[in-house]
Amino acid sequence: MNFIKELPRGLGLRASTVIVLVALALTVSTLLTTVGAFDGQPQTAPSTIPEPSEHANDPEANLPFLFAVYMITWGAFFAYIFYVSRRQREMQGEIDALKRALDQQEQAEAQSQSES
Amino acid sequence: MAQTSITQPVTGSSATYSTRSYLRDGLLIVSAALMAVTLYMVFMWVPTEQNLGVSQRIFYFHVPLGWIGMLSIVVVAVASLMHLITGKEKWDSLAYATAELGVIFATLILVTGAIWARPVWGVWWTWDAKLTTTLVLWFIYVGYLMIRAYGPSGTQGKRYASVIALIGAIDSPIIYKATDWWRTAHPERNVPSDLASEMLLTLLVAMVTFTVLYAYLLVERYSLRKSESDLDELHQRTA
Repeated sequence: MNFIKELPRGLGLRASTVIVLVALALTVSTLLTTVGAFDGQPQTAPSTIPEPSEHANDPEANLPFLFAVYMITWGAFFAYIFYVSRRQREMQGEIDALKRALDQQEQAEAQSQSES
Repeated sequence: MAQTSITQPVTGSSATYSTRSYLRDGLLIVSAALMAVTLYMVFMWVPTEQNLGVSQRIFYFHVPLGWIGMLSIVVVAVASLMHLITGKEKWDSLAYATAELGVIFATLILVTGAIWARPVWGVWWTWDAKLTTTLVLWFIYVGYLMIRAYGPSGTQGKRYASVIALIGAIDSPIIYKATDWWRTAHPERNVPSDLASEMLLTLLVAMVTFTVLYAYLLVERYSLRKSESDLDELHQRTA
């Protein structure tokens, strides 16, 4: 897994994976309107909801609702991962800066003690 | 002595951090791969349900979200209980990280449910037992986070929030059994026993995928929480 660290900062594993997932989500949303997934022979399966759809004869009638669900879910996950990653990076930067400041302070104190 | 305390890492060691990074990267790779498989199965492989049409495909996201939403509150409660018993900070960090994820998943359950309900039931929302108890779960998560944000600071606030989490966990079995205990618009069983084998397999894969994704998000958020604690500690040292 060390190869991950050797990658340029902007092309880290997480960024790459997120890009791949975004591409996948976009591909799927594009496919929604074109694939043969909805052309297959409808199979008999139990209804998970008691009331049948008002467009029961048209299997693609509710496509916008399906599209909305997947886009909202993916959007929420991407936004959250982006927020957490960014916050983590900011916080790590702040921690490093504070540690450096403390080290400098500590060295200065040690120097002044040795001089006195 | 002061010099030693300043130069030492705030918490943990570099080995701990790298182990967590490996775990995080591993979970991300696995969840991305599983998500690709799930999307293929949902959109290309599983047959269209006869009565509900394509809107039934919402089921493969909605049910796993529901599972994670209920799992989260149990994890929050267990971590809170451990925090109350041991007083260790790591349990509180885990509870907090899980509660934040719980809000996201509970929100998504409600939103995806409403979007599914509109074409199928003809309404965005109804005061159905399952929907109402899920909304209560959402309020419990939000209440937990509000106590952490605006409640007493320090140990007292953490304890108050832990008690809320323990009480909130009672809602999880109520949501699960709501369809048995009350007449609801939801099907009697959470996963129908006579579900077609392709549909059942797709649902199981989706549930595993979302569980791995949840684990990844939890590790990520837990790491952030640890960084927040480290930063607070450093600020206290510099003050």
